[in-house]
This record gives sequence, structure tokens and C-alpha cells, in this order.
Amino acid sequence: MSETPRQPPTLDTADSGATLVAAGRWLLDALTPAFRKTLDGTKGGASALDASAVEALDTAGALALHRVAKRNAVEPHGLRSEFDALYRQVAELAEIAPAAPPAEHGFLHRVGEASHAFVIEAQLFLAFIGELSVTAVRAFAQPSRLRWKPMLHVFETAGWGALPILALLSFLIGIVVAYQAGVQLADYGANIFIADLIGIAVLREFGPLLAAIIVAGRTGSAFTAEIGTMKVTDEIDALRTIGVSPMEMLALPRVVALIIIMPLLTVFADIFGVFGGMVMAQTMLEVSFNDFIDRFLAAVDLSDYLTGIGKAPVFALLIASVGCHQGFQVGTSADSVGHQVTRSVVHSLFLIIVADAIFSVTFSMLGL
Amino acid sequence: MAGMDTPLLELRDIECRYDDGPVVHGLSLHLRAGTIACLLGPSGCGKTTVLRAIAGFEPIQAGEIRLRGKQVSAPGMTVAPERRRIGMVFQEYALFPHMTVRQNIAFGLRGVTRDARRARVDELLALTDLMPCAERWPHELSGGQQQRVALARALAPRPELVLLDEPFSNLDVGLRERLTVEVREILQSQDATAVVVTHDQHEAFAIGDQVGVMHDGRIVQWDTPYNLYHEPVDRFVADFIGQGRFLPGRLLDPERLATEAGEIRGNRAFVWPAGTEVDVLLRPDDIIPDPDGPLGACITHKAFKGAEILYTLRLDAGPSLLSLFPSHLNHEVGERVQVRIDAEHLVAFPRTEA
Repeated sequence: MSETPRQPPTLDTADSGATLVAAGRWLLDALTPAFRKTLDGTKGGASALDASAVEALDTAGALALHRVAKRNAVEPHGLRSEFDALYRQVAELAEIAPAAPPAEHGFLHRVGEASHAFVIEAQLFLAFIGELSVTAVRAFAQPSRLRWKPMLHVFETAGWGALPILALLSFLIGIVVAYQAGVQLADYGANIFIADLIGIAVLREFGPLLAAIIVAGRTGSAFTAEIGTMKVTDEIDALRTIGVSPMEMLALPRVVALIIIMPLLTVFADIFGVFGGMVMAQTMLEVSFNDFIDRFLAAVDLSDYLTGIGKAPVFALLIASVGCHQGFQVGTSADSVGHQVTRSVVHSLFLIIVADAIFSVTFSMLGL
Repeated sequence: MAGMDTPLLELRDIECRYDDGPVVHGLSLHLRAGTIACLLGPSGCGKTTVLRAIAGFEPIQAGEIRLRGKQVSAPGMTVAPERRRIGMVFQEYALFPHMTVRQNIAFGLRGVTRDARRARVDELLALTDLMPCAERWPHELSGGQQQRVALARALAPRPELVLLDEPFSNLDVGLRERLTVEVREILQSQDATAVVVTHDQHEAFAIGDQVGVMHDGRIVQWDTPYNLYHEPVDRFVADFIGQGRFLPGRLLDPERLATEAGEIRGNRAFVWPAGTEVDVLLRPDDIIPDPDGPLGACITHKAFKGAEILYTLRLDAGPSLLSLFPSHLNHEVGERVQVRIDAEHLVAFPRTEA
């Protein structure tokens, strides 16, 4: 195309101010700040806007022209037909008010909203538990429906894979508890009671709790992420159209496998926790391994051991169902996976502590 | 066994709403076995919601959905997708990443013997031309291959109805055209009934026997591709399907219109009284290049389309029109040409104040 002389945009008056005449190229780069200022400075009151001499128009120019027209409460006439569609579209969009920022709500409003969200969340979780139970009953009535392969996978990743970290952390907690208790016991010369203390504390509380916390962090979050990713990629919907229930295929094997594996992990945590206490007892309190074990066997009942182990399946059920439930709650975007994983861990830790407190109260009432 | 004249799929006045209002309302459609239907509409018109309602993922708030004459969705009642025996192809294919192509296709085949399953998978692999990739993983395949795996997986259990959600939107244009034809052939070879959702009219025309144009949550026209283009029922369809420009005009008598481009004679009798102000739709193929034509025009824009060139013409009389010329009639922008209007299917709508 040949170089056309760049005619700057102009806005003049004719008919002694009654008509505004727009001319030239109303383009973004031609709309200089100075020209914009003159546009803003023009007084309203013209009764017509002649735009027939506008040679070029883009969105910015159309908006500027629209503002002039609006200030004078007139419609531009004579605009070339090829600019007309653009001008009309811009004029229409210019009338849409910008979205108002969301209003700041008061304290009461926020508390109400949070409570409502909590109730909804609880309802959804309850619905999930219900569906899971129905699926479980159906699967146990017809064991061929149980899927072993995903369960073996959970045994491997959630069980076997957790052993090193669980061993280390239990051992360290054993040392920490033994140290704190040992300082007090040494003052009274009651060193040997470290075995009672470590035995009961680890077997009843720390073993199951540690195992649960580690599994919630490693495996509950993984459940959410795995199922959530399948949700994002429509794989869950694909399963359903193929005629496979995602509950049966994805949730049930995970929950059942975790319930099986969790007591075993708790035993493992118990062993290393007690061992950590033993090591500390020997180095700090001069209680030999033999003395410790003698005292341990005398002090600790089978019931201490069983109450600890008994909590494990409950924790497993909580972690696995929260993990799977949050996975199914993932929306259509990838960032909601991360969001739900966080919720999954927070919710399972919350529920584990609450459940543990309920256990403590119940056991004390039963005198266990 | 349903009777011969029971439609395979029947939607009656269904309504789907989300928190912020209805997305689909008062939508009805009937589909006979063996038909490939297409829902076409701009994004946000509710077409995917309809598909998800048919599949059973979305509950409906009014109306009912019947499959083979049996009610599967009604307000407060939704038969789960896993119990509808429907095949579905998802926009992103949703292949199972830890399964090979063969395992993906075989996954939906349950309750059949090992041999029958193998035979069916082989048949589908051959049909979709995927035999060489049978043992590969989904991430090793191209987009077009993944798409065909998804189709084969959906077809494996011989569902009576297959739903395809924007099946070609992730493919490049060349592949898209070829696959549209292929998918249609594959669906037909399996005697499948299908509902395809798309926003692309070329896809819709290439794959659908019947096309429903959707707008604002309802079907505005349910017709063959030919009729949608040539006999649009309203201004939205006329605007959405194909190209063209509206020209203001006035009815002289039931068969003739006066416009700025002169008098146009239609092939049908318009029902409005003489003198009615109307807008006439002129398609690019209605404007014929003709050295002896009565209308002089100046070319203002040009878009090369291969076999044809789409020119934007400004008639001497004022209005601007689109015109499709054969590619060898190569003119430059600014050149003058003579044209005539030959509108076999003349479409006009009474002017509304807007």
C-alpha cells in the first residue's frame, strides 16, 4: 500500500459551535496526550457531531469519539460504514459499568458464611461416607468386586514406603519423651520408672498418633492428588460412562488397604519409639536395656498395647476417606488439586486429633 | 424391546440450572437410532451441559430424558452414568495414562470371555487404524491417535448412544477435517447413534445428519445442514451460520424486495404485507461476478481462501456486501467490478427496532 500522509485527528466546530466536526485518523498512536486533553476540554452543548471526515478508526479512537458524543448527548453521523460496526460495539461496551469490587463484609457475616460452608462440607463428607458404606457392603457381599491390584499398590506406597521415615521419627520422639521425663525422674531417683512412662505413652498415644500423622501427610494427600488429577482430566467421568463406579474402583480399595496397613505401621512406630526411649534411658539415666525391658514387661499391660493398636484402623478410615473425598471434590482446574490436597491434610489431622481426644475420654470413662 | 417408532433418545422440555440461573431451559429433542446429531452453538450456550445431562452427570430441574423409551432423568431422579450404557468421548480424551492403547480399549469390555474381548479390541484397532500402536502408551501418541483411541474405547462395549464433547477442538485444522470424516465413517460402520457437541459449523456440517443450533440454552433450529444455511429460521441462526451481510429493504409484493442494491426477486412468497421494512440476508455465494451485471462495486477487502477469494465489496449504491469469487478472478483492493445478485434462497426478517 502506498504511504498516505498521516492526517492527525482533529475536532473542530462549525455552524458557530452547533456542530462538531471530527476528521483525520483517529488511531491509538495518533491520539496524543495533548489532543486527548483538548477533547476533554471541549464544552458540551453541540447539537451534532459530523464524523464523515474520519479517515481511520480503531478501538481507542472509537472510544474517544464516543466520549465526545456522549458529553454532547449526540450521535455521530456520517461515519463511514466500515467504521460503523466498530463504533457501535465500542459505544455499547463503554456503557458497561466496571465490576464493583466485592463488598467488605462484617465479622458476623463472615462467621455465618464460614459456618454455612462448614455445614455444607460436613454434609458432603457424610454423603461420601454413606456412598462408601453402600459400596463396601456390596463389595464384601461379592468379594470378586474387590480390586486387589490397587490395594497392593497402597500396601507398597503407604506401608512399605513409609517405614524409614516412620522409624526415624518414632525413634526421635522416643528420645525426646524419655529426655523430658528423665530429667524429672532423676530428681527423685525414680530412674527405672522411665520404662513405665515410655511404654505407656508410646504404646497408647505416640505410636498410633505418629503413624497417623505421617500417613495423613504422605498418603492422604497422595490419595487426594491422584483422584483429583483424574477428575481434572475427565478420567473419573470416563470411568463412569464405561460403567465402572469410581467409588468401587478408586475409593474402596484405598480405604480398605489403609485400614489393613495402619495397625502394622503402628506396631512399627511402637517398636522404634520404645527403642528410642531405651537408648535415652541407658545414656542419660543409666538404666540398662535389660533392666528397661524387665520393667517394661511388668509395667505395660496387653490392654495398653491393644488400645493403641485399636485406634489405628479408625485413624486409617478417617485419613483415607478424607483423602478420597477431597479428591472427588476437585473441580475442573489444575490449581484446585493443590487446594484440595491442603484441605485434605488439614482436615485429616484435625479429625485424627479430635478422634484421639474422644478415645481418651472414652477410655478413661471405661477405666481402660 | 422398544417399538420401531420409539426414539432412542428423547429430551422433553429439560431445564438445567446452576446457582446463577438456568443454563438450559425448555429444550427438547428426539433422536432415532442410527442418526448422528450435532449440537452447534457459540461457547456458553449450554450445549455441553445438555450432553452432560444426557450422560447423567448433570441433574435436570424440569422435563425428562428418556433413553430407549425408559426414563433416565427427571427432576429429583438421575440414573447414574455408569448404568446408562452410553459411550462418551471427552474433549481432552481422558485416556487412562497407565494403560496401553489395547488396555484402554479393553477396559470397558466387562463380562465377556477373554477371546471375545481380544477379538473386539482387534476389530476396533483395525477400524481406527491403530494396530501398530496397540502396545504403546497414550502419552506416546499424537493428538489424532489419542482421539481415535478415545473413540474406540467408547465404542468397544457397543453402546447404543455415543456422546462426543468437542471431539476435534484440540487438533490442528488439517487433521480436524480428515478426522471429522473418519469419525463419521467409524460411527456409521458401528451403526452407532451419536450426539456431537461443537462450536465449529464446518465440523457440524461434516459430521451431523441433523444439526441443532443452540442459543441461550435452547435449540433455535433443528434441521439438516443445508436448511440451516439456506433456510435459517431467525436472525441468530442466519448470523451464526455461514457468512453474509444484512441489507435493509422493503417488501414490494410477496416476491419482490426493494433494497439499496436494487430490486431482488426471491424464490418464495414472504408472508408480510407489502411495504414491510425487512432485513435481507445476502450470502457471499448470492453475489455473482458478472461483467454485464447491473451493480457496480469497489473492492474494499480481500481474503484469499484457496479455491475462492472472499471479497468485501462496497456497492456504488452504498451498502457493503461479501462476495465469493472463483480464485482465478483475482482483483486488487480498490479495483472496480460489476456484479449481480442471484439469491435463490432469499432470506429476510422483518426489521425490529434495535
